[in-house]
Amino acid sequence: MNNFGFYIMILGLILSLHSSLFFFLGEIKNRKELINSAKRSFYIVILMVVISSFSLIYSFLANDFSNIYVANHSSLDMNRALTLVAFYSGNEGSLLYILFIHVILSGIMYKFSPSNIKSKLNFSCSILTIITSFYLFALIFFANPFEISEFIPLDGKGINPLLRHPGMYIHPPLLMSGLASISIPFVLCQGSLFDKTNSNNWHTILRVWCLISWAILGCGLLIGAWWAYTILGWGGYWSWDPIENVGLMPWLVLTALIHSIMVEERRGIFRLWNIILISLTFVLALLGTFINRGGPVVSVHSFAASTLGFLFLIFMIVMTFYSVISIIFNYKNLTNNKNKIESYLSREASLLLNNILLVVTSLVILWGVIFPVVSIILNDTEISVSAPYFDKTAGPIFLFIIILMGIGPILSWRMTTKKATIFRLLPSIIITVILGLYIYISGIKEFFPFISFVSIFFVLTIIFREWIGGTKSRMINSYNPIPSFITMIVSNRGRNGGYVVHIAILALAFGVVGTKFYDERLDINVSVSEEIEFRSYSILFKEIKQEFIGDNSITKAIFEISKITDLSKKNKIVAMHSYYPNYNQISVRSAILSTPVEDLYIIPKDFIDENNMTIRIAINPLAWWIWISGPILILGTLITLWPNKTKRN
Amino acid sequence: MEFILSIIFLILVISSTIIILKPFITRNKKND
Repeated sequence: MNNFGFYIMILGLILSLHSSLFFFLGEIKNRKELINSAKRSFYIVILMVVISSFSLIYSFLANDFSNIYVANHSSLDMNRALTLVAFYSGNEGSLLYILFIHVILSGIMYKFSPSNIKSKLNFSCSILTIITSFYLFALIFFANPFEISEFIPLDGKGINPLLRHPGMYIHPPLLMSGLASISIPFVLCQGSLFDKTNSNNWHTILRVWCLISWAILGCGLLIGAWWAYTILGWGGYWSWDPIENVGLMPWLVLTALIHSIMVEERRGIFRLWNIILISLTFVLALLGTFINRGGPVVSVHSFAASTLGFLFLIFMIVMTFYSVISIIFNYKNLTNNKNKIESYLSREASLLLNNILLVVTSLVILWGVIFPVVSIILNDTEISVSAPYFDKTAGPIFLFIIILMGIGPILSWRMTTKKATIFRLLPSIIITVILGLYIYISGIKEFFPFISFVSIFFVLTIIFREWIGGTKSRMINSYNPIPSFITMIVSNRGRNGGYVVHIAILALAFGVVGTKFYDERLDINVSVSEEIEFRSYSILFKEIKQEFIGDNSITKAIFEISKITDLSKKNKIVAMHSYYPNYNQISVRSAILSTPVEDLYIIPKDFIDENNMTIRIAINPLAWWIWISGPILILGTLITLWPNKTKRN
Repeated sequence: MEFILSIIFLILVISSTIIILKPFITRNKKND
């Protein structure tokens, strides 16, 4: 099976190169048979990648330890449900997984593109298959997941203990899919550069694919944070690790792009800016893969043994060079629109400011990521940049972005008068001032959290006011507000879906501010049957339990939690250490009692003996809101992406 | 197993070649 999978990849590479060349030649020479041939190999490549992926899955299921990758990432006692996780848990398999997602999304994009665009996609598909060829080349020559060992071990090493968590079914696949999917809007943008008809049809498809990439990447990041929160056992969810940052940077630039595409669609301006943004997003996504695979920056996520870094570095440089050249060659065409921003008090001006802030945040983060490398080059000593740098630089910019999120959508296109803006904002300002006073009286007096909470409520009141106004105007024929509200949402899905996404971001910000400024910690030694009171909680340490699953030993600490004000209602939570001898590694899982107000978070630091242990008790206020933002974000994206019947017809 | 997989691989190679060459064959026939 291993040889089969490997040769299928070689066949895929040949077909992919053929497809790329023929798409290009067909477009240049305007010969249909070349394009038809390229189309066919484009689809066959998808089949080849699917077959080689299933070959690897088969090797896992058959416990074929002659395959080095399978031997290193699974074992006889591994739960078969973890096969998929094992598939992408290593360097080689994850690259095959990225390729799998890349070709599937490419196929979906090509198959379901509107007919008026499909005929113009030849150049886009040519670049797309070059990217496919690159991945296949890397897999065949540098990271072969089908490499065979001369000595067949009796049992495999097993899957990395940290990856044995439900979040691992979603976080790495979503994050890798998100990064891989960015190539689709990138090639579409490149294709649009060569469409001399200056057609406007590109905007819709571009916006759809940007939104898809954005939502996948966003959810991947959020679930990664959730995984860190629940399994890594350090009490936080975001450590500004280089890999987290390189996932966040393209997401921020994509956020900017989604907004600025609207301006191009509406006013025909920002075309050059959009091309720069998508090229930047693509290069940042490649930078992520470069750092992840043996790049110069140390990260907890890196594949230590990977030597693929230089390959991705070359590819990143080539693609950056290509993007710059394509922009220079099309400069005149990109800047020939005579429309301009007419007023600073307009929707497009606010979106431009939002774009600048998002890109600046991204660059500030990028500087923090590459600073250790820069410091080595300049001073011969590595200086790492830690969380306070990112908090102090990115934090205030995010606050500005949130405020803009409220003001921007109520401004009109072209220009709005000061009077009209104040008139529209006034009710929200009044409500926010009252809420602000309440927040201040209730004890939140520090500057940054106070301003953050006030800004969040300000934006929220603006969104709700818009919705209430819209619903009221539709209630003329009906007395029931619910159907009127739904009709209002459906009538302008793009705008209202955007509002729902904004609510998700507000929920996220609400949680981040709460956990960042008001968390409390207590390190303490506890004995079985001891009862501790911490803030409003009564914590009874009930018992320590030892369990064995195969070679792995699990030590559980069981706690009974009740509120001091209501001792009758008890909740049982479990914290544990799982020891994995194959990896000589302990996986820590914290005990969490989560409510919308705050999380009680108990980290099992050390089991001293059968009756005593050291724990850290933490209160993480509003953490629940961070996780609820995920489903809201998906809902908002779905509302935005849901096809419009009239448009489709 | 290896033998069956070799045959499958061979079939895939031949069929892929035919599929991607077909647009040229059809065009030549039309020209004739």
